[in-house]
Amino acid sequence: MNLLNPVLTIIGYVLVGIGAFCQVVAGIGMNRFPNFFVRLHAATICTIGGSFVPIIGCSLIALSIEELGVTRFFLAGAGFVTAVFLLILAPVGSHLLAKAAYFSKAAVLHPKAVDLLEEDVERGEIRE
Amino acid sequence: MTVEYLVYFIPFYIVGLVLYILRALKGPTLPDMVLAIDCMGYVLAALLVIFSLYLRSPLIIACAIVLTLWIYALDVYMSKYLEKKELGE
Amino acid sequence: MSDLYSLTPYVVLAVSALASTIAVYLAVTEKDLIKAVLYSAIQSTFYALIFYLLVVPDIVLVYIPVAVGLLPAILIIAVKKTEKYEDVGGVPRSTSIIVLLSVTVFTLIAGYLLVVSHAITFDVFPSPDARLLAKWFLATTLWWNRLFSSMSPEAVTAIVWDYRGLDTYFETSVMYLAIIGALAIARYLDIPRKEYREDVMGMSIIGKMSAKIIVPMIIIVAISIALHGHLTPGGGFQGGVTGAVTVSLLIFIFSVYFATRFFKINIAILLRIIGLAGIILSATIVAIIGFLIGQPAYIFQNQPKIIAQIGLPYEIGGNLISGTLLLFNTSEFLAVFMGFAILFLLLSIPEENVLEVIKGEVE
Repeated sequence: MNLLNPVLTIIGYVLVGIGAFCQVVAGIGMNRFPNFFVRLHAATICTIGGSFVPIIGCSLIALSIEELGVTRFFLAGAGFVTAVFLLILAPVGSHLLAKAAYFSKAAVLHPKAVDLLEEDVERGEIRE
Repeated sequence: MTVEYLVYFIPFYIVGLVLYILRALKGPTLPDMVLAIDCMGYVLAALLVIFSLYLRSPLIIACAIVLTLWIYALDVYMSKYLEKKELGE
Repeated sequence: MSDLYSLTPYVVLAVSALASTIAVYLAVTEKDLIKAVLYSAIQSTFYALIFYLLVVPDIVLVYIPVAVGLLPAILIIAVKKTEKYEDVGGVPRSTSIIVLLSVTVFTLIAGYLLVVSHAITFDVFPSPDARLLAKWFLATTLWWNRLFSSMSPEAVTAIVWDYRGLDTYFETSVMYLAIIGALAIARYLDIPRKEYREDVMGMSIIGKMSAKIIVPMIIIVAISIALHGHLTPGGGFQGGVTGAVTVSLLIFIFSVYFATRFFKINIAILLRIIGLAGIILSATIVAIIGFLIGQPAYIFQNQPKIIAQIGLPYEIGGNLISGTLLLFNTSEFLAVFMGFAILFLLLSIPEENVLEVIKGEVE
């Protein structure tokens, strides 16, 4: 286990660095995109690239610190649970929001190139 | 190697938090604001895990799990409000 | 440079407090009520950050479910049932500028007075004079001696349920009376019996599938937070409100006609009564045993004290249970979980049923 510690720490820091970069990019994207539906791309980068990946990185760093003793497993375990919840729940939340915003016409579709869902709704293949 | 180098990464998360708050206050429509609050909550969850690792204290890390669950629940409430006529259906 | 690093938490605290005040002001003056609910959710996340930086995880675990989750849920249901726009006159711009300026000036004057009077200083937070009281509390709570403390390493649970147990008793009775009030208003209402049709009711199939995956995991996390209340930050109330998210998810993602297969209102009331009876029993169990044996004992007593020599064991087989704290946490988890289940089931009754009943009563 002593040989594995520097490897785990370096991988953990690389993942936290990827997370920091993705957060800044997603923050700039949220402000400059023209439309609600295009901002969903920025939201995906924020939640998965900017929150899921750093939490996994923090759990790996926590596993490699031997001064803490048994408590490093508590830190790593809680971090993994948070990451699994984030991985499952964040895309579902964006999907439900996008579906509700489209069908209730709460979000404007202004710079629109093509709307394939509209054609399917008119043909009657999708209810409501 | 220690956890002290984590401090250099924290300002980037705070910059992202400020940019999401700007979008939450600026957003012209309702789904924009909910999406921005959603992203703000998940950034805060990542920050809470990083802080608890930096302060080397495993007792305060359970707050990140609870925050993730309830921000998702806020998403569900808002999309149910927009979509259906009756909230129980 | 190291000065800047040690000052950073306080800077973040100050900025979060200021931002939350601005969010509250926007929430109060906004005419569209759903946007006001979202501004109040922004304020709640800032407050969670403030409580987290002051290192009180128990309060963060209570504040996030109540202020970010349950409060917006109840307000959104209320707005959906009534009306979306407030129709009072708006605030003129000069009044809002005067209000914001006076709040800022008052905050700066109060801060200056606090610094001058040495209540807060910049090198240690709070100042050593205010820490004496906290040290006294902790010395009497964390003293590993059966005669003086409740034998639990978690100071907040030990103070809330043992040292100041009567305060928690009043708090629990306030919530009990609130649920009784809600049940009294809804005494002729019940969830209508409709058949659950899977393709029309509820949200999309992705939402339903993810709810099926995630609901058992949430219940396990909630039970873990409740049962470990005497060892880690958590406890009965925190575990109960974390479990309440499953009821609200079941009602909103599937429909309420599906959720009543698992949670009927009468069964929820019965389980809540069992939880509350558990709390009363745990509070008086040492007094009852003392009365039967013939020794003096207090109510809310946990460990044997000098003038009351009987008490509950503090460990079983090497595992720490801290006497009545484990019993309190389990009963409180059941009571709070079922209380919020009753609330969500009552609030999701369709509005036409409610209007029928109310019209019948008024006329």
